[in-house]
Amino acid sequence: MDNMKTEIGHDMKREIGKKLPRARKEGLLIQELPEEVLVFDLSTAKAHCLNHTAALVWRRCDGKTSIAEVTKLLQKEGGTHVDAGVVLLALDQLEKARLIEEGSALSDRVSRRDVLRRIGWAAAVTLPLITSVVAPTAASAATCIPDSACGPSTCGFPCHITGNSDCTKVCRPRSNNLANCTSLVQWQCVGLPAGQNPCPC
Amino acid sequence: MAVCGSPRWPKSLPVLGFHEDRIGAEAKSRGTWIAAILEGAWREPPPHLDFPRDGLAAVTPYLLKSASAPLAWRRIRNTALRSSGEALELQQAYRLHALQAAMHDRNLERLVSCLTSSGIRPLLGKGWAVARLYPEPGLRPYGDFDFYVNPDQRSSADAALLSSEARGILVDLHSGFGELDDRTEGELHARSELVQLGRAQVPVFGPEDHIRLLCLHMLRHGAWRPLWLCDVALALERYADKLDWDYLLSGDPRRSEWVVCTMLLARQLLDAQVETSHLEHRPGLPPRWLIQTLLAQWGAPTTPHGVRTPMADYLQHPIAFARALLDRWPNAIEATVSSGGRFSRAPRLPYQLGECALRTARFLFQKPKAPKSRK
Repeated sequence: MDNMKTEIGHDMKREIGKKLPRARKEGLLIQELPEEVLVFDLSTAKAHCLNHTAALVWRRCDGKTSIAEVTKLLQKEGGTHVDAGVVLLALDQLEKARLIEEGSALSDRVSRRDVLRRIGWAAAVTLPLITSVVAPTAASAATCIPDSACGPSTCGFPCHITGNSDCTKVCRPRSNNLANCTSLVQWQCVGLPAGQNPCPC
Repeated sequence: MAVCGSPRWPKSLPVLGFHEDRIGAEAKSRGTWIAAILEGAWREPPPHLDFPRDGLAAVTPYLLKSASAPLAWRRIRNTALRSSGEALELQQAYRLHALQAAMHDRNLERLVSCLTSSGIRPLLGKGWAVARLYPEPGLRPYGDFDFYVNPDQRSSADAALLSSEARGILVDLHSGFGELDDRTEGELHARSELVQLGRAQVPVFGPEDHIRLLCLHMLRHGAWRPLWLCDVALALERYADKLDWDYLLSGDPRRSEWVVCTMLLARQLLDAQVETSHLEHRPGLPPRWLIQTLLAQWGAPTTPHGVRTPMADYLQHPIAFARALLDRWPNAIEATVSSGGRFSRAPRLPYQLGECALRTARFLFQKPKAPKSRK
């Protein structure tokens, strides 16, 4: 056990002077909340939730700040000693979540178990954590729209005919032979056989 | 600190007009629990909450179903309930809606630019227009953007929404001004506000018109979402200092009476801090049945409008047909509003029977009712 500790310690010392990689900026939707940061990857449609520590490290990923500097920052914020392994673990998770620019990630990996061994379970609350969040989709966001709202911009959306209040139909143009959907097209809210494309235009 | 598991009731309950001893059975009503957990959830900071764990377990499915989960999470996140399994569900819903809010912001910027560059003068109501007033993103979920345009601009607006910028964004385009058609378009535009969103300026209804719209929309849909009453409470508190009450309560007197009732409900059930001088001289309002119906609706396991299976599908299955009929029994609020009735103390059954007969006739003749936004 002691040998392993020493080995990890050597690795950390080697890493601590390194600069942080650059955070990925493109294709992400970021929502800052009081306790955490939510990141939605538009290219993969995956959503991640970064806890305070992970978010702090991610924000400092500019290719210039060193691991030692971020470690100090975390210590200052938390008012307690923070091990550099915490930052390395955050980087590892950020990389796995594809929130680090490709090619700029650190080469060495560090596991949560290794870091916990070093800092002890009592300090586990300071550990960075990136969890998955149910990603929003058009379908989940959409309330069932009334037939009056069927139109070019809502082609294929679930709809209901006011008065019947069902939601088993979709908005679609009245004609199947359309090159383009235009505002002149008549729109309807109808039930479709399975597999039929509601938007032929 | 919350006293979890304690049978203590929230302070707001006595204002319902019942003695605490008498509410025994009603105290079990999920609607009352929901009102208690949502009370003041929009404030910064939200008021302290004493709420029992079993109460949270009982109402969580209803909070999730009615998109009120984010507000409930905000209310419990600093209490001992935070570590419960129900809290985790509420928190996950909050996260989802917070992400959706970020997507909505992006989309709205594009939509507004599309519409205004085509010379359309839209006004945005409900959804984003009220969600922006909440203290955090994601607290007020919504699915689409409710744009109101002059009927003459409907086809131009449709064409503008065809552009690649706007494609795929869910828009409920109202031809005319729906529940606000007792005001002139000029009045609505003159009192509207422009809200900066990124590089776009979003035109939204003025405070008085918006509050009126929120109240009337809620009642027309039978008030089944508690979130709608939170919207009213929040808007009343946010605009408290600058509301033109005379204008707010002008227009069709029956609708104004409904609006007053909704504001009184917000005060009584959710402790909305409302300027009372304009509401006090209304004896008998809100009627007791209105409060009871609303609470029962919030805690009811019925399927809300818009996601029901068509009645025609049940024709071959008598038991399912009967069950579906029961599910569709109009609540007293929507029945009264639908037939333009008064919110008096008179029994609601005639309104409900009338509404039921109308729906049955519509079903039999398969002639869908034209929605108000089409008027």
